This record gives sequence, C-alpha cells and structure tokens, in this order.
Amino acid sequence: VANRTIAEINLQAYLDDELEPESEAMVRQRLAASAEARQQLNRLQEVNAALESWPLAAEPPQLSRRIMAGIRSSPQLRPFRVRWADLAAGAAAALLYSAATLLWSRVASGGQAAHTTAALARLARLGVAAVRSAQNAASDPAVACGLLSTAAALVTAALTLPFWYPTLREEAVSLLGGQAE
Amino acid sequence: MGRLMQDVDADLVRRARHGDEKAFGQLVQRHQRFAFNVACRVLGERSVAEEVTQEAFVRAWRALPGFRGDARFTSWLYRIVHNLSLNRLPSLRRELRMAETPEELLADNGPSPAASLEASEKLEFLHAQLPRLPRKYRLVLTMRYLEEMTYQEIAAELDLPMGTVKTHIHRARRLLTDRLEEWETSGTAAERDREED
Repeated sequence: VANRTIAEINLQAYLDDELEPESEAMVRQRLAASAEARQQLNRLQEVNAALESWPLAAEPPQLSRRIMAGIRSSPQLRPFRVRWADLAAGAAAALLYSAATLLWSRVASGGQAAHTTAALARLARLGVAAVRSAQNAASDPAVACGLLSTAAALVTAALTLPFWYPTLREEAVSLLGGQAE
Repeated sequence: MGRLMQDVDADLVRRARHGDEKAFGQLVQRHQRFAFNVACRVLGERSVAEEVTQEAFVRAWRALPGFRGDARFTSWLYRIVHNLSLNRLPSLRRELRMAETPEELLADNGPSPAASLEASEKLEFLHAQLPRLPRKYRLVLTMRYLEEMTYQEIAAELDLPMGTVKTHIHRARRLLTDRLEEWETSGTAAERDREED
C-alpha cells in the first residue's frame, strides 16, 4: 500500500510538473515498463480534465437584484486616516494652550512679569528645539509632524498638569527658571 | 483572468470605492457566478450559497473604500466567500487539519455505470462524483482549479501547512481515480456479462 501511495504521489507530481529531473526520469522509466502505471496516469489525466472542466452552476436569477438591494441599505465604511495637517494644527494649539495656561497662572498668582516672560521664552525655545529635533530625526515631513505632535502633547501635559495640581507647581516653575510663589 | 479583465475590474473598483453603485453593480454582474459557485461547491446547498454570495458582496461593498487594490478584486472577494462559508461550517476548519486515510472516505461510491465507457461518459461520471467528495476536498479543489490558486496561496488563505494542502489535493484526486477505476471495472464486467448472455 505504501509503495502504491508513493508511486501515485509521484505520478501526480509528474502530471503537475513538480518533480526534480532525476525523479521525473524514474517516473518515465516506470511508465515505459508498466502498463498498470500507464493506466493509472491515464486515469489521473482524466480526473484532472474533469476538475478543470468542473461545470459552473447557474446563479439564482434574482441574485444580483438581491445583492444590489442589500448594497443600497449598507453604507460604505470610510477607513480612518491620519491627516498630518490636523495633527500639526493640534500640536500648535497644544503649545498655545500651554503658553496661555502658564501666563494665566502667573498673572493669577501675582507672579512677576519678567519671570513670566522668561518662562514663555524658554517655552518658545523648547518649541523651536522640538521642531529642529523632529526635522533632524525624520526626513519625511509626515513623520516630523507625528513626532512634533507627540512632543507637543507631552509638553502640554508637563506644563499644564502642575498648575492644576498645586503640589507639582513649585517644581514646574523652577524647571522653567521662575520662582515659586 | 486576462489582463484586460483585470484592468476593467481595477477601473470599476476605483469608481466603486468612491460610492459609485453602478460600477459595483457591474462588478456583481461580472463575478456573481464564480462567487456563487465557490460557495456552492463548499456548502453544497444552493440556498445557503446564495445567502453567502449576497452577504459577501455586501461586505465587499462596505469595505471597498479600505481595499488597497494591491490584490485582485476577485481574490479579495473569494476570500470573503471562503471566510463566510467557513463560518457557516464551523467544523470544516477542524476537518481541514485532519488527514483521514482515503479508505475511510470510500464509503459513498455513487452510481454504477451503465455499459460503455466513452470519454464523455467518464467525464460525466467524474463530474457527478465531485459534489460527493468530502467538503474539505471540494474547498481545496475549488481554490486550486476554479480560482487557480497556487498551493502556497491556498495554504496561506486557509492557514494550513503547504504539505497538508498538497495531501488533501492528492487524496481527493486519488479518491476520484479509485472511483473511476471501480466504475470502469464494474462497467467492463457488466458488458462482459451481457456479451455472455
């Protein structure tokens, strides 16, 4: 049974043109010597012909009408796409928000204008440095925008959270070069 | 599929992606028969195959804006049909991973032949045998012969080792040759008996 199976596998592979030249030569020898092998090959060819000509059934007559009715009640799903312009605008807004929060905090707590200006100047320098780093890190503007957005989000969080949570406030102010009131 | 057919499909897909229902309608007209046959051969029932074909086209329509076009539309559509068919037959995935000996599958031999064994009759006999094959064999044979997929593509699509795919196709063909051999033998015997009478 095992020999027969191997012989059949080889015959099928021979028909599929998948044998190495050496194995192919062996199959040819076997075919030349054995009427049974030739008959087997003949049957395999008939099976292959049947598979290749497997008739197509006609589709139900109303199928396309039903499909189109289904489509009319099914809106297409628009894929989510990242728009880099939106991300860049978001980054700018985040930085502005950070600056405004810082300014408001200083004014509300009676901080000195010079300190506030210095802190804003540091923030601006930080922004410029972030832009340069992003440009250096990524030659692709889209990737640079992505890096900037991430940086802006981090800066926003770092700058604004301490002012909403007073325990972190002193450290944040000293980090920006000011004096905690 | 010819290059021209693919180009026409690509153009229709481009239009349909932007919501052009008429363009999608043309895609339906062009491919519904093949999609229906893919489902029908695996599922075995026309009514279920019709439901699956309908659902497959609706899913294709909904997901079309996300279709990147680096694969052929038909390959993508048939993949949806395969998945929906496999969902309808949860045990088929397990069957695909199992390898019975061909002897276990020889129980249903189908009708006996009448008398003469002309080539067209052999073909007719074999075509009648195809729907009687186990469904996992019908699936891989459909992918191989109707969709003209390579062994590698079938293996990737069904998440099976390539050796398993080859084994299924080999066994399906062996099953058919065995049935053909039995049919020929019994046909020859019947003819001989008639001649003796």
